[in-house]
Amino acid sequence: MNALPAPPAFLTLRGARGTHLSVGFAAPRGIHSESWLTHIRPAVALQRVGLAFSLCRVAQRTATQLAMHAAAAADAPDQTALAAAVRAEWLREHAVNLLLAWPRMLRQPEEPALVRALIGVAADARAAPRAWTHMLEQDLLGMPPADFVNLDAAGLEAWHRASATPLAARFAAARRATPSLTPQPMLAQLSTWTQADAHALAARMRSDAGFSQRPHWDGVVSESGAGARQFAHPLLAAWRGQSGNDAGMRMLARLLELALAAADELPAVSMRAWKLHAGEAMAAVDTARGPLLHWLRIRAGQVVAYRILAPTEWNFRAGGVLEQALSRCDGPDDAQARAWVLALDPCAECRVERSDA
Amino acid sequence: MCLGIPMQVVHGDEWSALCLADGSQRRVSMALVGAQDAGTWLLVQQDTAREVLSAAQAREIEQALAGVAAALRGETDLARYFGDLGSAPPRAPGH
Repeated sequence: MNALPAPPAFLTLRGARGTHLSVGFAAPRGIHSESWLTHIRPAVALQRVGLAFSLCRVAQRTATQLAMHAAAAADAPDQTALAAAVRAEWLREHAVNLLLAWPRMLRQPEEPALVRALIGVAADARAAPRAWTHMLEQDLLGMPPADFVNLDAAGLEAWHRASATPLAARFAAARRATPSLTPQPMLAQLSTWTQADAHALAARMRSDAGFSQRPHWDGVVSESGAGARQFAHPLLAAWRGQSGNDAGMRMLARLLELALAAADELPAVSMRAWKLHAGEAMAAVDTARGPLLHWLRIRAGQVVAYRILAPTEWNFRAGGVLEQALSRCDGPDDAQARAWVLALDPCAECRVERSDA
Repeated sequence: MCLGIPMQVVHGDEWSALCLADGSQRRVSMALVGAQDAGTWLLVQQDTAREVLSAAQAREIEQALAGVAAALRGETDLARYFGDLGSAPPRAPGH
């Protein structure tokens, strides 16, 4: 076989055997900066975003459209339709993580038919949440989603003991499988960002070309994603009481969001935009992995500056939660490291490399 | 990042397939798309086929990724990569 084609972006965890792993995010850095999205008309930039970001194109294009509208360079998009599409993309990513990537990592049977069915329902807003409710109850949770989201510590323990579905059994086995982290800051919910918060982030994106690779919240390195969004939920608190602030808690947050969607208790997707100055705006769209930010400046009908902050960067930056987690992983194999990577769910290829030094 | 790469099925079944891109082969999970005929184009991320593409869609995405790479090399004339179509609606592949 020939050499494998290089993925367009990948994450590498490097470390000599017996030592801690370090994080190297070998993404093509310039993809977040302006060079391929500038000196063109806004409509062309929107087209390019949709083609290059082919997997989460709905969220990416939505962020572009919202930012352009805020900068008075495009008509108002249909936010209701976009929010439904972003939500479908979000639920799809959770299903793929829990029902394909996780069993694959554990060398257990994948559940492709179930994932395909879930994705199909997620894409059909009219069918949800009734169809979601049925599938989650029968195939994922073994109980009604509305009951699952209200489990207390004893109920969670009973759910583990019953292990009524392959997914539930995986969660039971995941308890205490990775080290517990000391509590770290969680990124504020996008819906709560103030005008001042948004302007501060935009100022950093404008003035610091490297901010997209080293994001922070007012100087604080913070975690993003389902674990951050749902950290305060009683179900996750119950998990932490049993297993700690571990990788499993981040996986459970993903399942919780699927269950909340089925129970019709998942809030509408946050999609926000701020006009900063004349022709300058920033938009944020909440995705499965956290807020996606697009900042742009338009002059005389041309995009003259464009920067993107991908949600993956919050967790996988130097000093981020993955690095903290890896510093606590031990043992001769990389199972814990792989579990953490899966739990934090980068949107890029990930490799674990060990040297023999 | 959210980048996928178009790959073409060489052979396989409903679980996995040997796929080809840019002259190199790798094994890809077919869990999300099911068995596909040889020659079918797929959008692949993290060794999983995420969706089936038409040949035209695959070429558009390939070219767009080449355009990003060209921009990173310092090229400035990127229209030929992205197939910029003036104000025509984008032809991004659908789900």
